Amino acid sequence: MTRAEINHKLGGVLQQVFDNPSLVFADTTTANDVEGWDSVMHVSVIVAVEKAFGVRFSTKEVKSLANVGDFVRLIEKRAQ
Amino acid sequence: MPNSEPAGSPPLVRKFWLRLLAFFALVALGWAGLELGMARMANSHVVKQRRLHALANEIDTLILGSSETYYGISPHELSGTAFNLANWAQSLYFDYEISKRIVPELPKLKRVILLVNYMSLYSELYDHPESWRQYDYFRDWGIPLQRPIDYLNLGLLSRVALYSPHAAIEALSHGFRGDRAPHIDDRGWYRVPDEDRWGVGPDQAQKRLGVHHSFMHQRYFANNAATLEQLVVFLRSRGLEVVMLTTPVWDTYRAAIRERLWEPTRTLASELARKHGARYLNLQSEPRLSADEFEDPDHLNAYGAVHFAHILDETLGAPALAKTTEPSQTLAGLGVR
Amino acid sequence: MSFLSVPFFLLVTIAVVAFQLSPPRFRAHVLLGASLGFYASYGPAYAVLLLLAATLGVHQAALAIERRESESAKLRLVTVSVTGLTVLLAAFKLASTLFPWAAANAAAEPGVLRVLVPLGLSYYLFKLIAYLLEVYWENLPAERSFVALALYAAFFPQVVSGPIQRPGEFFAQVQGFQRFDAASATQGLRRILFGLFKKIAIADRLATLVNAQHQNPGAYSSLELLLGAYLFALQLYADFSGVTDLAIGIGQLFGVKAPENFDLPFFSRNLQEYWRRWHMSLTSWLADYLFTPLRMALRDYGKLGLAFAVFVNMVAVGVWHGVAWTYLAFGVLHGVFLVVSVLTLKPRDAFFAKHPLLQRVRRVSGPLVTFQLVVLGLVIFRADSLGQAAQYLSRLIGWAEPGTIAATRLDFKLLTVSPKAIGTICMLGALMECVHWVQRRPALARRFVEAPAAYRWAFYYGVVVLTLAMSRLGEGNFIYAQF
Repeated sequence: MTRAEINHKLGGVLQQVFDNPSLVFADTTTANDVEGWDSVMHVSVIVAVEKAFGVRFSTKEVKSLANVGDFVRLIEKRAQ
Repeated sequence: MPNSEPAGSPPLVRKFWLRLLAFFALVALGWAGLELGMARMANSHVVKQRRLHALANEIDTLILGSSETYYGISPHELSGTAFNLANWAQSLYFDYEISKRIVPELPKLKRVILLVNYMSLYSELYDHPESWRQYDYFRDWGIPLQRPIDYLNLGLLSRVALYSPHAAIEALSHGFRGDRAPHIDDRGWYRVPDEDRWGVGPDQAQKRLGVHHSFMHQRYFANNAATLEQLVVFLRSRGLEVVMLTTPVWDTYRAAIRERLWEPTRTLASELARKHGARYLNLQSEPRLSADEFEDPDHLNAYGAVHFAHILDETLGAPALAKTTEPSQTLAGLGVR
Repeated sequence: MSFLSVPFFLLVTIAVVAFQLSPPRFRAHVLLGASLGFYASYGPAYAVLLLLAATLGVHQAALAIERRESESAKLRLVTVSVTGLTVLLAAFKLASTLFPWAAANAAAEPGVLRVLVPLGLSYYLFKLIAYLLEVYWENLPAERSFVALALYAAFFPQVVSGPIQRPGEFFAQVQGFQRFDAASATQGLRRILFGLFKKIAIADRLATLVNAQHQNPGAYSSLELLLGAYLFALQLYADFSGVTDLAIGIGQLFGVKAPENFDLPFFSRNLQEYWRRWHMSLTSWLADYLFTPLRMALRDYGKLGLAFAVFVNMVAVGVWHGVAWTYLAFGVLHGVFLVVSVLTLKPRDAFFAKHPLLQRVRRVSGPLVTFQLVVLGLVIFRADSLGQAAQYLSRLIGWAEPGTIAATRLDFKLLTVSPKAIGTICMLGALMECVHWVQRRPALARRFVEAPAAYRWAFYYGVVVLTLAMSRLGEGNFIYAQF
């Protein structure tokens, strides 16, 4: 998958998880920037992304994510 | 995160310290103002000293001791001219020191009433919830503190620290008018306000004894016994009638007293009375007083104080100079200074 | 050494002066010395040695984790170290419950939080665990300087009652010990003044009332206990946020900014939000180092896994305060509340979305209901035992033996605080919240800071006088007034 495709698919997942069809984000978006993205939702996001992309993350990988951009790169790495 | 240079430049740093100093200087100024204001207000000691000196040439009976006698004996009902020089938490040490200073100034003095109750022999003011009072004795009577370490206290120098900043500011809001010791009458007696009724039930008695036991310690007995003897001898050596008195307490309090602590005190008082020609009156149980006459399980209220003073007056009769009995030990031998 | 004592004031003054006078490269050492000295004043000698030993162990472990090549070796090492630290913490907490005489040295600071272990153990062990995990997760390089790590663990403004600062934030600021930050120091002084005000004028004034009610709930009416429950919430908030202010402010004297602990928590719309706004440094620590890893491990179990993780997290919040049934009950209670809240959030949101009028009501009812639940939990939190808590609550709702005390009695003499005083304290509480509100709005805060010095100083002096006027500091005990 290309970076753009990942971005698009991730966007759809996030919008679904947060029940907000108009949610947009950039590479630098962090959890603080999105309403309702707390630690409970965080793992829900992870689970949804894992399902959508058919990958599995380790806690260590999840913990080193600083923003959405990191997330995209992680998905890219795992989706190979 | 990295701070811009100017934050640490020397002129800014100096400005910071100067401003800080100025801020605290103003606080110190305010504090000094409060101190001056507080110094103008008389506390219980100053009030009582003034009233004592007004009557110095007439006083023939002096009442000492702590709050039990402070509240519990109304001087007006005693024959002659009595003055109540007892005060809150006044221990034997302070009774003695005050006596040494005041007795020479009372030419007509014939009788001194001392309080010897459950706590007297086992407590010291420096190890008491109201230990701050020792600084009042120091400042207003010139009585030295009992332990050197107690000199290391802000309360020694600062009335604001002693009576609390809160009290000082409240006094300020009243223009520092009046004195800090209401309810004291012209004979030094503390007239318990009518609304101060704490009840005499077993719960209250337990609570009060809980407080008392918390500062009563066996290790203070010997010193206090010596002080009491020195006091009795000092007074007897001047030909004064000495009455050691145990004031009335309510049944609930008496029921919860520890006999093994109380018995040595009674024995000592009786022994001293016999030895030095003094009297020991144990009126701890006084059936003529009713529950209404008590403010709490071990203090009489104003009505009780009047009634009790009548009882005392009946029992003691008018004060008269007793025959000077030779003390069985010389004053020097007792280390009387 | 209590934060509110002359010796502590002297310590801070000496530390600040020594810090300023020493060359920048020794400033961390000076602070460490002051911190260890402060910590030693609290209790037995072994407490300091324990802290240093734990720090040394972690120091080495972190370097080792970084050095190892294989993922499994790193995992093994971090698991062993973190487990070791957790066991240490648990052992001390359990020991102090089983052997109360061993905890005799631990002073209670702040007033209500009963940390029954070598003081600060919970705080510094949590910091060290955070450090280890961040190194393992490769978010942070292992700290080579033992002094820096020891300072992180033992930093005296934070060691006794937090906030629990993250390692990255702290180490970054330690680099900044190069110059004196007058702005930070001034901010710090302001913070300290505010903290003293909260603790002395509000919290300590409510302590006698609340303590008496919890000692003997049977002596009070329902209304009095209800009032006491709300006043306790105010007391705890003022006390803890006041001590936090002192901790943050003193840190700022050295140019170290600590994380916030409170964000107007009583206005939270639901309990999840409450725990993101109350004791934030603790709950975010638990969220990052307990909840998320646990949740990740359980993510295949769907809602059950989520419920379990939430529940465990809240129980941890409870027992972190001490090993007592009341703290456990508190944690369990909030665990249940939160599990229900989390599992029903989506359906509830959907429901309210369909009923806009109710949605508007929810804006008001949400915080109100949340606050009631918080107050309820705090009664249990404060109680001296579960039995006392039960007695308090049953009297509160009028279940206890009816008769002798009218449910709606308000005996202010018994409460030892006059209605006027209660009113004043509540007003001060409101004032406190206003200041909190301004603090969270940088634009308004800036307006204050940039106002002419005369106005600001007048305000500061007003706070000083108000604090002293409301204080009971140094007030001679008067055992003859009442018991």
